[in-house]
Amino acid sequence: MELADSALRPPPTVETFEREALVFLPNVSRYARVLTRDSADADDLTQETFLRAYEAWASFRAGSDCRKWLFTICRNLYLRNRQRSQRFVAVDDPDGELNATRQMYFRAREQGCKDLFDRIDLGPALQKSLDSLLPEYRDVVVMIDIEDCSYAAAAGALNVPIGTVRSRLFRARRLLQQSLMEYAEDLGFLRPSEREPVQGGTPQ
Amino acid sequence: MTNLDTLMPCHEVVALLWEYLDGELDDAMRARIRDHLDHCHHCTDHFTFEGAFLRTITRVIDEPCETGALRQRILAALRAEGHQRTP
Repeated sequence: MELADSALRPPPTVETFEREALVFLPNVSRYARVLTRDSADADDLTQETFLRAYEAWASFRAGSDCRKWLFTICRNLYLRNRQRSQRFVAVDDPDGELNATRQMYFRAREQGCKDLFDRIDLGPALQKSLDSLLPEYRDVVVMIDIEDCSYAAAAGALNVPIGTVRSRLFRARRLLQQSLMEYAEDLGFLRPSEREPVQGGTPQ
Repeated sequence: MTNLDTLMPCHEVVALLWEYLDGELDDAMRARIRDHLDHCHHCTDHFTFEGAFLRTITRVIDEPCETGALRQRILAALRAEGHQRTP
């Protein structure tokens, strides 16, 4: 927990804020872009994040992870701004997703590409795949893979049951991995297979 | 010395793959999976593969981007709210 548990600190000088918080601007900006998928929206969200952090500086505990704290603020602002709809009923099949992921591993192994993810630059393909995910799936990926949240913390922040986090995460990872495998096929690292369409997925 | 008869079967280990890599399991279950991985190169290879996948996600999403103009914009917004640099 990042909150201070003792006396509140005075507001920071701008120099202090620059040195301790704004140093993470490139990371937060990147994070905001993943969340919003729009550079103008991301800039607005990033600015809002830092202004909010400045206002709340007194409650940030010195010495704790400022980058993580900024990510948390950014994500919470994003979720609030998005005014999440209640159209989702998560009854995905995590076991089925895991099985599909396992099949992809078998395919890579059979073709001698167990080290696929270390061999080729998947950045552009992954960014495109992330952009194609529905926000509900992207949320769990960024919270768990970037913020390093626990499943329980993600469930709390997103106000969904932990099982929903689990199923969305597994599905998101399967979709991302499927996209990367197709990208590897396009580059000739893997032999083409019978493809399933990669979609952002509709939570069921 | 591990009794191979007590090892978890592969399908149960793989079912916990993501939870294991995400650090979601308790110590006892982690130990049981580690024990299995110590004896099963198939599952070890699979876990290694998925671990590399997760590192790829983290690396790509967390890659800093150029923000010079945005930095100036934020500092201007702070000044507009009355926060000044130390004279």
